[in-house]
Amino acid sequence: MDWKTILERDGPVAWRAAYRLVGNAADADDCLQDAALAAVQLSRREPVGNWRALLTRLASARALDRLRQRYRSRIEPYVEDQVDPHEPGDTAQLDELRSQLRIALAHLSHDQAAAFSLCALEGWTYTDASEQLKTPASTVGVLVHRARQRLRELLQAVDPNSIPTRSLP
Amino acid sequence: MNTNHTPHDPLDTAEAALRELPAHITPSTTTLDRIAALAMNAEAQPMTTVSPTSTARGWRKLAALLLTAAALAVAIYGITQPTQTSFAFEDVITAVKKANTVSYTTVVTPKNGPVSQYKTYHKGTLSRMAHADGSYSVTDMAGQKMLMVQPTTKTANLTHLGNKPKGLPTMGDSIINWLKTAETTGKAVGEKTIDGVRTLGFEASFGAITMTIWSDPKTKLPVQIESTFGAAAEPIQMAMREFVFNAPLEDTLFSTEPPAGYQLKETKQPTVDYEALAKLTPEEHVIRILKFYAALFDGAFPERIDGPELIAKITSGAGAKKIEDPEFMKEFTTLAGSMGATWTFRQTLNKFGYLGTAKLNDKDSIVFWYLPKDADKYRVVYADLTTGDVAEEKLPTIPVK
Repeated sequence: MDWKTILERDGPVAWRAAYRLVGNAADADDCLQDAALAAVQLSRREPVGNWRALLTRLASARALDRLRQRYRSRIEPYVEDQVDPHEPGDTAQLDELRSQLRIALAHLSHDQAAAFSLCALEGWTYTDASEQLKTPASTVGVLVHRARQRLRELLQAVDPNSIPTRSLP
Repeated sequence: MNTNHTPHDPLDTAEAALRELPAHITPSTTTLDRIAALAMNAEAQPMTTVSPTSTARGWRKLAALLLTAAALAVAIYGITQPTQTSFAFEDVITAVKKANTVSYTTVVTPKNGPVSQYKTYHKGTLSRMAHADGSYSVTDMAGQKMLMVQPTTKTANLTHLGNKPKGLPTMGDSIINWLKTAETTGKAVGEKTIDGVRTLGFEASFGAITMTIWSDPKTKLPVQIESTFGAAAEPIQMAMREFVFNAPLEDTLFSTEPPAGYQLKETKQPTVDYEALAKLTPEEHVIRILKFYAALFDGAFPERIDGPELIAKITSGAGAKKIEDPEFMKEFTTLAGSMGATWTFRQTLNKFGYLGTAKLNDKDSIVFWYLPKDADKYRVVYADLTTGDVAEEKLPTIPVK
């Protein structure tokens, strides 16, 4: 397998998916590394048709595991990278919002969190996600819907007036 | 994609904030090349001997060093790679299983309490735990007895142990016994130098406790084991260190005879019908725990339904008088079986939750839930200790702390 080509072509997308969830480059590196090693094992058992989708799904799953571990153990304070240091006002509020969503995601079920991260954050269709998650597209839709319901409950403590109406460029 | 939203919906804004990452947030070429090399290396290995790797952070440091010696980078990488990946958690388990004796020091550091320290010795089915104040206990699992000696009062207590579940280590068993029975595959967490020894770490979960085992690549034996457990607000950190394996240990260390001149008291631990306990459902175990606890604490439920802190809470709540009551102790010991069962089934349930904020007889409050295999509804226990089946959306939300 030409792993250099696969990683150069599909690695950045999978890495960014992990980064969205874990919020720092070092953890995203770890997630992509774990995903690549898991993909090696998986490719021995079955042919892989879409490396990008597989690596993204695996990296997202590893990132969600890290989120759960981080917000469950709470052994050390956690530092997330500043996404955009040029807009201190908005960045502070958006960083807080990102952080709230990451904490909330850590409290979803595995299935809901996986479906939400792939469909809502990565922009996959339910059909694309259903192939990777090995579950019907209708079930993916239900999972995303329930994830949103639960996330809204978890985020309800956030003051809407404190949230900027635009996101980062 | 999301049509069910309101203006300034925090979720929509948060989603957008996460989704729309600036384009410059990308992995470095070095990272991608390194991971590609790792993948190629893993692919080249036989399927049954997939080995863990160092963490990416460790490799980032290594990569920085390699870049300073660019001409040697490829050669050094090729040489160092095999030694980094030739060591797996299974090797640690195997090495521990082969050990005849082991001694180590345990340091327990609660967030809001005094540090305690004790030394443990193991030899076959014998163990000794010695505390800094001179008190010690010796347990003979084959002989089913435990001697506790307290020099300050010159007293000794010999307990004739009851039965224990067959083949399963209990929560009271030592970490070493847990390691010996571990079937988990530890996740590599990188390197750490401890007392001048370069060690590799593996993270492994045993029930509700996650431990990091730092081992010497030469012997594969643990050099230090670290764990954090207890409530999130008041975590307890535990570290086992100063391991010595296979050193001769005198039999006198494990004598269950009380020292001369000590007042001896003998007690008999009740026998528990573990076969009957094994037939109970998870919710029946939980109901037993909740009922017992609520009776002691004015209808309140515990923060957790397993773990050593629950036993400690019940012991302190019951008070010395009840602890000496044989009937209470029999019930408590049987309850410990349910706690052990709860501990065990947590390992097999993916979808499981507990929220002990309600009080006994709060009729509609769900306290405990889990999804049985192949079921589409959750089994739940309400605060009035009745049970039911509910859909996932009816489950309580565990507050984000």
